[in-house]
Amino acid sequence: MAELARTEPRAVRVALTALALAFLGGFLVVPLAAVFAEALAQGWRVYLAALREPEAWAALRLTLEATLGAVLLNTSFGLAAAWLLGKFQFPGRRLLAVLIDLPFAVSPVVAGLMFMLVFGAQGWLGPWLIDRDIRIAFALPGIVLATTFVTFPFVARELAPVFQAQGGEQEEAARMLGASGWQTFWRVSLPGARWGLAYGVILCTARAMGEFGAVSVVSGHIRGLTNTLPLHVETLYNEYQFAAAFACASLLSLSALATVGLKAWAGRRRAAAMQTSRSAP
Amino acid sequence: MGRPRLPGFRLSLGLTLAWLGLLVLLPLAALVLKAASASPPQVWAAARSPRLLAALRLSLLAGFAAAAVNLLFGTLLAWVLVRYRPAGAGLLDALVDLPFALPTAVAGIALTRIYMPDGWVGRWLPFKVAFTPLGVFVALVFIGLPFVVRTVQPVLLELPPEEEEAAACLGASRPRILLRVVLPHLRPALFTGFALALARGLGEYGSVIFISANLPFRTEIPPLLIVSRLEQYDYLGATLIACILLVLSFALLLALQLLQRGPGRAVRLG
Amino acid sequence: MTLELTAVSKRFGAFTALDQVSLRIPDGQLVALLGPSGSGKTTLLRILAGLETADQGLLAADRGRGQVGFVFQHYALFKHMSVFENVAFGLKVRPRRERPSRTGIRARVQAILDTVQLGWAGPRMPDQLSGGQRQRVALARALVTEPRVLLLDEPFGALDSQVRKDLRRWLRRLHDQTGVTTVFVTHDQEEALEVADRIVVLNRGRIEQDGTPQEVYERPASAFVYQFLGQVNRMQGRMRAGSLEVGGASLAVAEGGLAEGAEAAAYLRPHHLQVGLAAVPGSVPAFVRRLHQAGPFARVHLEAVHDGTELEAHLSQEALDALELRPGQVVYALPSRLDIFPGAPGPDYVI
Repeated sequence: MAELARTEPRAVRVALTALALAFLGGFLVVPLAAVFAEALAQGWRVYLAALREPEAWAALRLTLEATLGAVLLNTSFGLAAAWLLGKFQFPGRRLLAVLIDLPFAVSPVVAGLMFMLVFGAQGWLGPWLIDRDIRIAFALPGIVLATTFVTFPFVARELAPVFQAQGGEQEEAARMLGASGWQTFWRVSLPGARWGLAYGVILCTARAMGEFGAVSVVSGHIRGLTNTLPLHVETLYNEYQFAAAFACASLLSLSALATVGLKAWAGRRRAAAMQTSRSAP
Repeated sequence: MGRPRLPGFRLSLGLTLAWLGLLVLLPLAALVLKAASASPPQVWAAARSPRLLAALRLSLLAGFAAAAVNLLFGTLLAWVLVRYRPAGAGLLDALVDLPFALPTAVAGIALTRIYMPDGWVGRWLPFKVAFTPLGVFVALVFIGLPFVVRTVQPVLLELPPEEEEAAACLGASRPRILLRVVLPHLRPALFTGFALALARGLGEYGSVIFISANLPFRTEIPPLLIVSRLEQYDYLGATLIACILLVLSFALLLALQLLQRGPGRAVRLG
Repeated sequence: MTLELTAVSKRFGAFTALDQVSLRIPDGQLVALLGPSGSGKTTLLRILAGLETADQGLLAADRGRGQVGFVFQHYALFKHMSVFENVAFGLKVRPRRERPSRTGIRARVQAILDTVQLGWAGPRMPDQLSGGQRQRVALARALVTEPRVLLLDEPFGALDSQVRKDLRRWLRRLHDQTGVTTVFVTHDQEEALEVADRIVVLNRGRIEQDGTPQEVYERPASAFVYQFLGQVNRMQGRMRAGSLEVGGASLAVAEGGLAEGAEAAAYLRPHHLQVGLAAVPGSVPAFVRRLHQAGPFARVHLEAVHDGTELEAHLSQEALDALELRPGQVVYALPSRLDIFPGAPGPDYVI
């Protein structure tokens, strides 16, 4: 009896694997390697000196602050939205999901523009803010808002399926045992979904740290004040300070690699948790 | 379904709508209203600006081409990772997320250095990549890489082997099985992945502006035009371009959604 | 706690789950809600629990928070908590005034775990236990708060047959010890008959019969109950001169009430069908199709001569040996007891 065609012939498998690896290597690994190579092109001392620049530090601090702000805001939103979408059926649910995904379809530059139109000097709230000496555009709050917009859907989208896979029985059991709504949420629902939350937060953090286009519009590019690290990289590059630019870029790349690792780990835990939710209790 | 059985419906609905309204719909409204304040001749002039049209053409061409390449190679990658499980698959799988996690500016300068005429790759190529539309294409391929892989992977993982085995028992050849049995399962994910990669590509800014050198009428992209309008304090001009870009993106995504037949199946944008 | 439902109705969209159901459960009783899928039994239980609200009707039950113990078919254990934490939950979420001390909680949890014979399982996680063990944890969790009523939704439905039998006997013993009002839902009539003080048979949102296991089995109130509980032989026929005419035989009918010429069917249990070699008034001729002799009694599968209706008779081994039956032989089936219900042929419930 002829061999059943259950998978591709070995030669094909090897060729395809090689092709896939070549693609991955060429498009991913090479650029990543280039960042570090360029950063160290002028030697370790130049590299470290670039990282010790006060402007670089200020940029890093701003990036972290903006990221923290965006993550906190989006986590609190994400919890509410994920609970809503994952546990309830109601008319307009699909529309709501589409609206929440909207920021993905908007170019970051457009996002930045939108916030300038609201908070900028010529914007809706512009005069009102100037009167009260509140700075949003060209300052940290504006950066936080723009970053929050761009990373808006992440926590909600990654947490909602986990909530949904949980079903409602554990919550019902908790209620029968006398737990209040909040007790149920904090002691039963959320701990059961903690990997979905972690995964969403990691995604949100990664994207927030790397955001460029939206922040570029909102921040005003003021060196040492409103330059996030990615913006600082651009500034250095445009001034032909390549080694310094790549040095900062290498920092961001390292954080990206760490993120990627964390994401893989949390993703596995999340998949496992959802699997046990779906299968026999 | 009657009264919701679980707690917190009204609270979560209220919070979600409030957030959504303030953070997403309000800014969007500001954009739309600003654009609406323009007179029709202004809008028409902006839309017909040769520079914008050139930029849109480039974005669309490069975007589609890059999404197509990612469709092909992304599916291949997902297939290899799920079906063949080569050594180090875990590491490779994690790497796929890199374009997502890496700041676009970093990607931008890295790609530029590599594809410059004297760069690592550029020096081996007989044609120019950096500072040409081809460079834009390359950047968009990089950016869109994870999307198709990540949408196809879960489908492949859940694919029941019994269907392929049944087809094999019935005597179908491997290519035929792939075409008739596996592909239909993948179709929705392929559409979604393509749409996501395309949407991302159309709006991309950071990774493109370095490698393109932003040569007017040659390698400019619409987001760059918006920024240059803003630098000249022409908010209205910037808004008009932004709205045109938005409308284009939404129309494209909607068209893709409708193309992917299936009553009421929404292609999730994210 | 006494539970009382009065004319309760519940609909889900166009589907009527419960239709004017009234029920009173006195304190300390062990009641089974029995019926096929879609009969409304789970809805009824959930209304008793407060997990659903009735569209119409009244529910009188003195329920405070945590006073109703509920056990789900799929256990609904908190997967991220240990067995101990699961069982302690009901005590830990109490308002401060009512909450026992930490040592108090530990003592009570350990005691209830010992009762369900899982004293060792405290530190374990639910996914490390078998199905039967998990269900016992669910029971312990529901019982630790000393509820005044215990509700169970197909508690043994997800378990293996032997485990199911062991657990149902164990539930009965537990009830005898604690005396808590207990209501459980099941589609398994054997389970209901074995465990409950009282069985409420539901079909399509209505109560078909409500009585002790013996009443429900020996004196079914309707064709549905007859068919749902225990095996049944059913012979279609027509009323003639006060008797049911089935294929030429005249079956004596106890009480009247059915019009002349009306279509009706005789229902009888297999052990009420006697098999003889000679034609006797009131007996129905039938072919012997198959003999089944492995088991506590012998089963004779018959096919009525007049219309091919399948009948089954249960006899003792000795009685069967005495007859010396062979497949294909014609014998005479004589009901020793039967009930008549009006109606045309066809099953009374949807599978």
